[in-house]
Amino acid sequence: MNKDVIKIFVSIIIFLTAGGVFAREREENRETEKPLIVTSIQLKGKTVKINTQDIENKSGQLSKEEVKRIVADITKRYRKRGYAAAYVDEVIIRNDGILVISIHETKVVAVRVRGAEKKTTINTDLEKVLLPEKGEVFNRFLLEKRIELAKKGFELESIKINLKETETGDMIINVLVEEKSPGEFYGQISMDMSYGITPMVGYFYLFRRSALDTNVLLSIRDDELSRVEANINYYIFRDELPKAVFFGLNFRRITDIWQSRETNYTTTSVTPVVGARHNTGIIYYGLFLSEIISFPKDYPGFDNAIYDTRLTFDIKISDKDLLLDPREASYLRLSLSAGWDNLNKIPYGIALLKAETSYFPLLWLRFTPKIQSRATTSVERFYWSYVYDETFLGFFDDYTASRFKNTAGLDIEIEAAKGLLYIGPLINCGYFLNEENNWIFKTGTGLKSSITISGITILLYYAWDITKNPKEGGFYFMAEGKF
Amino acid sequence: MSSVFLIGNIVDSGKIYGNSDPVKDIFQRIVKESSKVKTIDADITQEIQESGSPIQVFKGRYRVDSKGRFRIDYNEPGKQIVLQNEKGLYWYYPDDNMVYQAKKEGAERKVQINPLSEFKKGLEERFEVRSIGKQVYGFFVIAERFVVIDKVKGDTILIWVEKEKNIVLKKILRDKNNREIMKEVYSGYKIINDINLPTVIDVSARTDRGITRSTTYYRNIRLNKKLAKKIFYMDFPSNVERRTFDE
Repeated sequence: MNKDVIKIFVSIIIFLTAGGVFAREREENRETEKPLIVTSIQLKGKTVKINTQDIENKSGQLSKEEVKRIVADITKRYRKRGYAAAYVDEVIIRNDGILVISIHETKVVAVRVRGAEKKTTINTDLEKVLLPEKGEVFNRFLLEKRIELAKKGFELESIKINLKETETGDMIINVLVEEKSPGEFYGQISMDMSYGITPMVGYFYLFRRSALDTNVLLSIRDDELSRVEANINYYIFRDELPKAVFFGLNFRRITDIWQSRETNYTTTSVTPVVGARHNTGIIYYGLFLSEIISFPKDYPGFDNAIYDTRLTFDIKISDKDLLLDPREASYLRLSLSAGWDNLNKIPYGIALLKAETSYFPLLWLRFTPKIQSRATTSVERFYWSYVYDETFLGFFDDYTASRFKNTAGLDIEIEAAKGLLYIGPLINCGYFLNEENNWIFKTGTGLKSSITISGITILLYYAWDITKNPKEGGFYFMAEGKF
Repeated sequence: MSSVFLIGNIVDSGKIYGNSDPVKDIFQRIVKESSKVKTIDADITQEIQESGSPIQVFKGRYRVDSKGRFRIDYNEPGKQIVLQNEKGLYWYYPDDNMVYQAKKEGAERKVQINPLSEFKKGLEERFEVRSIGKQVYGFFVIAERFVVIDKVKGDTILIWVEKEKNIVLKKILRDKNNREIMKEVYSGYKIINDINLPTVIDVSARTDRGITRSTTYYRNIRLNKKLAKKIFYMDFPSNVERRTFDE
């Protein structure tokens, strides 16, 4: 039972007053304790569908104790069905021997809601949900269920109830709602192949017509800080939520390895960005302009600030939101950038293509083929990407960068524990230009496992170069979730 | 499998069902094949999982007839009897002497073995059927795909069939925004009494609690055996506590 429900019961004015017995006996019996001669039992005021036929069929001699037990039984049946505020009001034996047991079924005459400030319509809408029909008999099971549905339906943090008795013995339900914070933390921790262990934490806050998204990450490689990055983006939604313009600022300090030159260089950069995006739920596309101002240190051949003006068009297509099982989703992303900077001194381009889909030949068996390709026209190492990343596993402590890299892979996944644990082999290949401008083909293979608990997904891989001993492989992991 | 965006799907222009039409013939054959099942008496194991919750396992005996009446006698995790007849749906807990009753069953509890039961009547009047091409399904199976548009409700149903065996492989119900609402996957087909029957049915559905998935495994299937009408009805004890599914 959750906290809110417990609070409800603390607040409930319990009408269990001494079993609810207010017996009024005939004058003649008060003094003598003689048993009552009952011809039949009538339940007055009973409107709810509770089976009491066996009680109403009783007749004969009934002692006071037996009458009390009948009253307690009636009360118990009401309680068991959730009518926590109903009670026996009066017990009278008539001259004709009919034992009349009057039941007060407390009726809810009003619901008063307050507390919703961001969406004030919740106050009136919730009244209708909690009390669809005025005058219905109070039932705590029904109220609990409506509260749970309302919390979910109106996205509320909590609903607190206070019950108040009216002068006529009915009930008013006072409700205090607490709206959910529109902000949400998210985070992940992963083993980045190039930069090391990388924890990231972010916060997303939704205003009425805008949103703020900030995140920070840092990476540790060989016990040193290899990367620190902070992003802040502010979105302004247009007429509909999916359309937005955004402004952002990125700060980054990153240490890269130039493998063929056996040297490291560090770059500190600040990047303001402005753009627009549209999201239809299946297709996302955006266009943005950024000015990347970088201060490289120990970059061979260039030690001035780099001013890079870049225009990027990004499109993603995914059916994940349409599907019952997001694991069946397909995904395609294309990103095209064109820029000019004082390092290349000529216009350059960057293209990125990623695609992934899933195939289930059996309910518990999934094949996930994927491809990725990244290319740049720039001959500067500064714009190249590392070959061995999370899309090309099996090669550790290798920081080869490439101007043109293509990878393809296949994950095979078996549902070892339904909805919880998936394991299986993987294979991935890469065909890329290395730093000496030679085309190289390599293949990595390994094992993958993923476990999903309470919205947190943990991925663990062990992979190795297929031409080498599996013992020379290494682990890769990632854990991500929202909280 | 996500059908809309998978590269390589060949989508026909959509041949509409009409008289003396190969599309109609395939579909009607499968409806007819499914309709051969009159009664089922089987042992079942059901694994039910709601979003974010652990899996619940139910085991018992399932009996159903062609009138849509069914009875499930669960023995695990506890004794429960589920009945559906023309009067409604009843879920009886004999140990607690309590029965829940409703007029309409929830999608996640649906236990039916005829994948195309809704198309038996009024196929031509109510539904528009189109073939939308072939697709690889499972291992080495080429499935025919149909889209069925319910002219009354406006729903779209995608159906995958293996026409050589006259069996339904998968069925997906989508809303007007193309969002999947319910998915049924039929597998483990076995021939029993010359009828091809799925022995595993996996159903996923959107509910107000999130996405619920139910997988039902059928064993010891006795097909088209005479079932006494009385098994689908029950006189509950007079002092049974009655509740609705809302409580």
